[in-house]
Amino acid sequence: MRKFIDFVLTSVKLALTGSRKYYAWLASLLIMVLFGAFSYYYQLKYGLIITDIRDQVSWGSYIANFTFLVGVAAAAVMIVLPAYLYNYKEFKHITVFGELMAVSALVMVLTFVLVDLGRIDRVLHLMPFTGTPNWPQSMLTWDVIVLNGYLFLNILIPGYLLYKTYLREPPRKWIKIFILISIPWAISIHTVTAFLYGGLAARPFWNTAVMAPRFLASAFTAGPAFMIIILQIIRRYTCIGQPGCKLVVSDRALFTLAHIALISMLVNLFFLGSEIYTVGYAATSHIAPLKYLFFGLEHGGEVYNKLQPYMWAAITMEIIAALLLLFPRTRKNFKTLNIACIFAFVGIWIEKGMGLVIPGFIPTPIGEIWEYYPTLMEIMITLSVWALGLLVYTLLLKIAIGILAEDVVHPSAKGREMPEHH
Amino acid sequence: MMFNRVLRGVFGFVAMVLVAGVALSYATPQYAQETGENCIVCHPNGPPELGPAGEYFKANGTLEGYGELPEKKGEAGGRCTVCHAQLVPNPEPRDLSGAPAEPNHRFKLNHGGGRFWCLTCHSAVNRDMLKLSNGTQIPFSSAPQLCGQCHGTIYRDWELRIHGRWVGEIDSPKPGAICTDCHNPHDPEFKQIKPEKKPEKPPEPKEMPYYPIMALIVLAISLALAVYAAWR
Amino acid sequence: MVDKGRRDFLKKAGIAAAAIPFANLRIPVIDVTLEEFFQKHYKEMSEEERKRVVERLERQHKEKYGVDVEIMTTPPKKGVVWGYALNIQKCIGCRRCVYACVRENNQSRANPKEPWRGEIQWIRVLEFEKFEAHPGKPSKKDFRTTFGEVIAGINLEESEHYYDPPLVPEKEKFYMPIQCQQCERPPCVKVCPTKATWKEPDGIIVVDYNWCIGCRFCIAACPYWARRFNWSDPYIRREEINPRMHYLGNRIRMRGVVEKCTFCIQRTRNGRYPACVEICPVGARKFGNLLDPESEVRRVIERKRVFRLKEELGTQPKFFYFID
Repeated sequence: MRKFIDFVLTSVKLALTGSRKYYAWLASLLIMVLFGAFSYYYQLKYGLIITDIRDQVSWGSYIANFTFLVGVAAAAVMIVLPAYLYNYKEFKHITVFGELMAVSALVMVLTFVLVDLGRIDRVLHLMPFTGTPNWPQSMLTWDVIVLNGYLFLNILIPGYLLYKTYLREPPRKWIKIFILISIPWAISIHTVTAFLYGGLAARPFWNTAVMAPRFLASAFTAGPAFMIIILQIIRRYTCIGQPGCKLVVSDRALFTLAHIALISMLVNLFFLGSEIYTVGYAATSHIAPLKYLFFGLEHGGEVYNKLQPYMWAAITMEIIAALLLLFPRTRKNFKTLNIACIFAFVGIWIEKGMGLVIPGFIPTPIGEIWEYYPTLMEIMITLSVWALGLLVYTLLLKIAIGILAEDVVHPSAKGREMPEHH
Repeated sequence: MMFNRVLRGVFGFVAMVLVAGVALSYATPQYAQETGENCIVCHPNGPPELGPAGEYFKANGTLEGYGELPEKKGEAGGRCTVCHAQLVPNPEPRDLSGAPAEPNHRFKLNHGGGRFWCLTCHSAVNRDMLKLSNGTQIPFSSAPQLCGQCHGTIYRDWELRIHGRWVGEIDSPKPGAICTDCHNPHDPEFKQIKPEKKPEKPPEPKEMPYYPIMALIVLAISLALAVYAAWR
Repeated sequence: MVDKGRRDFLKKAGIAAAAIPFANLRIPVIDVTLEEFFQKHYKEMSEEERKRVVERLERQHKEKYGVDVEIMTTPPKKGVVWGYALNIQKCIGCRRCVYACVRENNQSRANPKEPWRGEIQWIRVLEFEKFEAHPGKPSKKDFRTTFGEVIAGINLEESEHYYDPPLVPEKEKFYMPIQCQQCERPPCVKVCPTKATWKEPDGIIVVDYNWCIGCRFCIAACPYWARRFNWSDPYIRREEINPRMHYLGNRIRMRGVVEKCTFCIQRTRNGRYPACVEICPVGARKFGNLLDPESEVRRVIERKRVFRLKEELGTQPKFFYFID
């Protein structure tokens, strides 16, 4: 027990000490988070009327970002799976970073859900014992279960491994079970999120079989793309990559991640094309939301096409990203690789976030066209939740790198060898 | 010879009286012709008793300057015989769909497309009753029987309580409204009405005062710090 | 569904909360008291607890608006399932039903001084074209004829919600009001994560406004756009308040919860017609007990040509549209 407390205290110390630039980065994120909390107070006081969501479009930026970030959280599995099921050595060093990314993404996910609720004071009504969860009928209760379960797994697994590394002891075998469970569990969180949308017969834009496969494909593109960028940042700003460092993030690992992102992106584009064909060939009234996205809708003399530029930008970015990732010359060149990753990430964020949630409501089930565009307050609260996630990720990474790469050990374990990773 | 002259005189006088009497009662009463108004306006309780408007006409010979005329009542509800007992009905079927047919009942008959006239529905012998096509006299409260002769499907629905507007207790065997409670039998087509206000578009978002400038400052500071942290 | 241990815990917590002197203290900004926080799901309350909750709510109405209200908890009658029939041949689009509903059910009104507290209307009347032709040029390539594209019948995409002519009905238009269809297989009930909305034995889908967490999943799931959300505090003047209320019906709601048509549960459970049925000036609306073969609504269904909206979605609405 004593050792565990030491571990926690050391971790806190690691997280909160660093260079001036480190503090500047934390401050940059913290000021956004505080401003977000301040804006959220205004939302609590006046209600969700501070956003642009209304009865016609009843989910907006918060849920769009929630949807996207569940995918990013699930993408940790794309590192864990090769490392543990295929013993891919290059990934063994970076699974912790993936799992910690899942934690921070899940923090963002849960915060977005809380921020979107009309009555946050009643959130306990969702939980068993204090509330009456509608399980198994409601997909949202499934989501609460799987998201919290995945959060627990992704705190337990890296936490335990870091703890054992801190003590220079080999990890016990039982952790393997949790690691193996986390693989299908990751698939499940994003499948359940997709089923939230796919199960609604009232919204033909979402009520397709390919919703869950699409979600997974885009998640496994955006997640690795994000990881590629993050790992390069880690290499740049920490000791990793410098000679003498215990941890290595090899170029090969990055290129394998890029390969995974490529395959997923191609599959994602194929699913998107399949959706467009299925809706567009017979062109029933169900084509309206897709038409709204790409060409705008016209009714009563007015044209509604606010999302048009974003969608075309998203598709263009995704195609460029796919092409850049496809050819080894551009995939293995860090300049073009980074462009591809950023384009893939932003493109999928648009396509899956705003480009999926908003058009599901346009037109309304009884034919009204009402456009949504987030207000400044909504955007700031959204950015502040992203800042919160990045803040959590920064703190966790600082701890992980300190223990894994910078020789931070428990006093009783000084001088011992690093245990063989799993 | 004297006797013949007297007889002719008496005969002529009687004939004149008879003709005048018939003519007088056959044609529209003189006062109605002069004022263009319904009998009830001057005789609210039926002739010969005069109401205030009637006194005015008697005094001035015209209704001009009287002011607001009383409402025409008595076209339904059993007071018709008050006037009509003294009037001989016009048995001539005629098209009443044009401009005001008679000064008495000031309306166009917009029912039947010119094929109906007063005595199609109203009893000739007793104006307090309606008549069915086989001549049966029915009171005004039994109007559905008359209307149902032509509007059979609606009559059937009305008996089942699925035609018309009901208030009060659900599914109760209420006597309910009769046709004339909602439909004007002389002009049954419902007129257009002014619709209530269209729904409001969803309200504009509530904004915090000075929020844009605050957000700009926060973003600027945050970005500056981040750039500083990233600078190599 | 509920285990006794949890129920006992909550009961004790609830009683404890009520006993604490600051149980009625209102937390600012979030606008909730401790007693409200610990209030249980309506279906799990005992008679005694319901009475207490209703008393508290009546007191809160009195404090806030200065009006004495009666909040009933009338249970459903046995052998009754409510159904609705609406004659779109007769509807003239006058919207009297919309505003009768607003008055009867204490819905939020628009407030020009605080425009963010918008109006809520449970009934939405749609205007359709009877026949609008867009003749085209005949073309062998796409088999177009001079008949061209036609807008006729119930075409929701082409409907107009904000029609505003000086007089109705307009000759080339017809009208169809839509409100909660009280489905037998309600998608909204299925997706609610907290069971805050459910189907009562008499067929009415109700919402426990003190249990709803405002996630709006039900609004996304409803194929008829029947549910409304309180985006801010509802605004109603005290002289507009209808004091005869039902806990599951027309009591005054709060911000952050979902509401919708309840077939005027405060009226129908006491034997009166819903407000929209009574006010329709052309008698287009019919209401009654679907289980009674002699009821008005059953007679309509069996004699007229009825249809339901979006039948293919399998929601089994108890709201039938018909034509003569």
